[in-house]
Amino acid sequence: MSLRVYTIIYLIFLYAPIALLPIFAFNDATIIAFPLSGGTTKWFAEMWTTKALHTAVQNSLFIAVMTSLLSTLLGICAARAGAMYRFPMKAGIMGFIMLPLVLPEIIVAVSLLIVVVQILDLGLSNWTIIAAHVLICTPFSIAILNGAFQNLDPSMEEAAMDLGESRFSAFRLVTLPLVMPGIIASMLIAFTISLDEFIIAFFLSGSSPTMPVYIWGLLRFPQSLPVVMALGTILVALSIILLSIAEILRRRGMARAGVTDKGGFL
Amino acid sequence: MTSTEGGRGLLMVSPPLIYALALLAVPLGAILLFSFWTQDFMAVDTTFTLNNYREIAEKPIYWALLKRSLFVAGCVTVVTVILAFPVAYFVSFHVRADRKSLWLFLITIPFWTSYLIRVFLWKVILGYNGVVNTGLINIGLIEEPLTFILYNVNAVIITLAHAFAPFAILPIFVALEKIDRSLLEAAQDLGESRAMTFFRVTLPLAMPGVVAAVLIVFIPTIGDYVTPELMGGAGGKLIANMIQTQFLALNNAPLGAALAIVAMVSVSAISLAFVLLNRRWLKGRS
Amino acid sequence: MKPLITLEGVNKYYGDYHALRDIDLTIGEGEFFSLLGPSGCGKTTLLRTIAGFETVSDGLVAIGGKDMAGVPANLRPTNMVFQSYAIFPHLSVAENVAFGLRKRPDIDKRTAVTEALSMVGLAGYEKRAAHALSGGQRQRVALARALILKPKVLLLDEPLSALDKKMREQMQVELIKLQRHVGITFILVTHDQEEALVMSDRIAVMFEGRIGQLADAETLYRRPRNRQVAEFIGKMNFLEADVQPAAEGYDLRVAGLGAVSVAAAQAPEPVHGSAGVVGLRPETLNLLFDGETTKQMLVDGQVDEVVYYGDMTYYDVRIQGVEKPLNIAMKNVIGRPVLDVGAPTRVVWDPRALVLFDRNG
Repeated sequence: MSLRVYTIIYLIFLYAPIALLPIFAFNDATIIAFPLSGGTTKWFAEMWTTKALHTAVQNSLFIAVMTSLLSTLLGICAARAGAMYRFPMKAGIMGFIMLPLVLPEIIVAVSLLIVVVQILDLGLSNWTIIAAHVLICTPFSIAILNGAFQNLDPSMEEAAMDLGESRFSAFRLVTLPLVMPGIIASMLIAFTISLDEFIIAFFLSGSSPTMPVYIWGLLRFPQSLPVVMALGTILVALSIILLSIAEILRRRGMARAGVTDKGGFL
Repeated sequence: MTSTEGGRGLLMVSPPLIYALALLAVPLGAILLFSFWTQDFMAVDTTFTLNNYREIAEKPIYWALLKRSLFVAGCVTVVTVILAFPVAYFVSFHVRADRKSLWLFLITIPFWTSYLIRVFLWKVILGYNGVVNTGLINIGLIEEPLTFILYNVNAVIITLAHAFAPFAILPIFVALEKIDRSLLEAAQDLGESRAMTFFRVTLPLAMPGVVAAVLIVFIPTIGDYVTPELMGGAGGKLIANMIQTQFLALNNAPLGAALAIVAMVSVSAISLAFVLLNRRWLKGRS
Repeated sequence: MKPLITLEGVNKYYGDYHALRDIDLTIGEGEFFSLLGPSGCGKTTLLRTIAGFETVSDGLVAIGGKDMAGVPANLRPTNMVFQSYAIFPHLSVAENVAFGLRKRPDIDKRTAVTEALSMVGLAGYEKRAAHALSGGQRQRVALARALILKPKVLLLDEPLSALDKKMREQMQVELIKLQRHVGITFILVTHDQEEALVMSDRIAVMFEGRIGQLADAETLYRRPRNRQVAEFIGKMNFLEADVQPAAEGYDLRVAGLGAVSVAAAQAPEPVHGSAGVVGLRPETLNLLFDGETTKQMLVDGQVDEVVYYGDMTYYDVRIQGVEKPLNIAMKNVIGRPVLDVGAPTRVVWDPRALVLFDRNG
């Protein structure tokens, strides 16, 4: 019983910051503090008229979409190799691919910055961010897809081949439909991570910032903070929706493959 | 090549492997190389030198920052893991099987929502006119707002402990889930109380998860400069802030690279030592 | 018997591991053939080699007179029932059964599926979701799915191991009937000797990548070629014997039983030298109860252990000159008591039941 109380208090601790977001987003005051001073939707309206924000959102969406596609593609290769094949140095190779999961993000950021700017002498653009985001999102994609691939009976594809399908069409007709929920979940998670990522994007963004970089700029100006709260509210709502879809799909995938659910994403 | 299982596996794993080699191994090599070079005004002097490392060793500011960073990361890790363990235990042992993934989902959601804004909101919670202070004044517990909870190391620790919570809960949960429940019944059958069963059976078997949680919180914490920047004030800056400054403000990439290497090596050394100290719990499991 | 599958000098290596060693084998059309052996003996590898999931390191695999080298699984005239059944969980029963018909527009799907399902006793299950099936039903779907393509050979990889005992016995009978009905070659992999004996026309017993003996069920049971086969199939008592070649067989001096002559046919492999071992199945031995008489050979013994099984009682009986007690299976008939441990008794044995092996063979 006391454990349950503790856990609920812990959840309140976890949710406290995001719970405040909508409160201040609808609060009619430029200062983000109590007491509140009545409701308004003007901060949301202001977002629609801020040109710079629109560009930032466009950049972030482009980066997030590309990241989700590429990291999921790489994730499928790694998860399939990991679940279905034995090959030399497997543990080392898989560990190396998963390494960005525990590497401090600033290390990824500065090392890529050096390569791109100092060594290759290229300009920074959305693509430099995409390259870095794919690197850090691929381990998450693999973690999600691993669940999907490992639950797959390896004789399933063999059965399809035995019934006349080629190796590729066996994958397309049997494996792909079974891991599809995992693929979509992986794309959604990678999208969410990329959309939110700041530490690396701050180092690698070119002249036109991403949304988190833009927000970082706003945080220094007190008068723009309510707009940040409004933007944050929308982002949180969007994240929750996307994650819920990802979770529902992941569970449906588990049910479809006929396995019992063992828990969350990681 | 494609006819054997090993060949097919290698072929399959090669795209992500090549990607990780090109965008992780090569850049890490580059940063190491850079740390032995020097910044000569606008150009980079490529003569091999240990000057950057000498400067880091000689100037007390770097040493102080590194020490503070490791201290903060250590505190964050301890706080996060200790706070997380009961939650993981509750979900694993006291939640109905079909509800577990819902609880995990609830726990992970805040983690996925805009990091920057989350950090900023802690400022709102802990600030002079923040939620905590207004709340405590309203119920009459204090008369003046508390000031020791913002713009110092405490604030950094609270915020980071919040940010890394799910990272600590999930590995511990996974380890607890793996424990065969009949082992606990066996321990009680052999005469142990519930508390002693926890210490003699549950905790040792959960140690791989605890070790994973410690590493997964400790290592990335070093790389964060957002939280110290927003929450730390003047006395709460960490090594990552200095790396960022060297690269982006002072335009001294080689010194920044050397700092990054020093930070990474210290973290890896501590993590390795930690794993070795705990290796008796990790044998034959994981 | 018209040969359908020929294997000549087949070897398979996984790195240093020699999984199949010089396999020579011919399997006939319409035959119910079993590969029997303990786990790790190579029987599944051999099956997968025929199916095309494993390539041979060395040797020939031919089906219907055609060399199968380089022919992938999807182009071979074989279909397989997997150990896990590999029922596609995202498809319905009908979709599972019709899976292989995608590239066979000549076959009318609906009729073929209906036929195949009724053949395996699942008529009317078309719309069922695959994950809502019981173990026995999944197996039937796997059978229908494989047979709908009218393969020349049906390969079954431990198809009954996932079922409970009762279901397993029922499916054994159904599989035999099904094989007679479709008339094609069935190759069954199993580690269960009873299953192989009940179902097969011929059985290849495998040990460590080699075929130990290839014969029909009765020969395997009554004339096992060596002690390894004899021990794997059923139970057997072994007694050391001195061997003297005689005109029409061998003269033996068997430990605990004494002098006896056996026919040459009782030694499945000729015995060279004088060191032999004789085998006696537990059911060929009897206990002589009070009031019973016999013209057979008798030896005195003492009951060492009794295990009562309902229809049978299994005794361990110690006889003089032999260290290991004899295992004897007695049917429990009316009027026949169950002896206590320690009771003196007499063992009835028949020289015709002896099987003679070379002690060094």
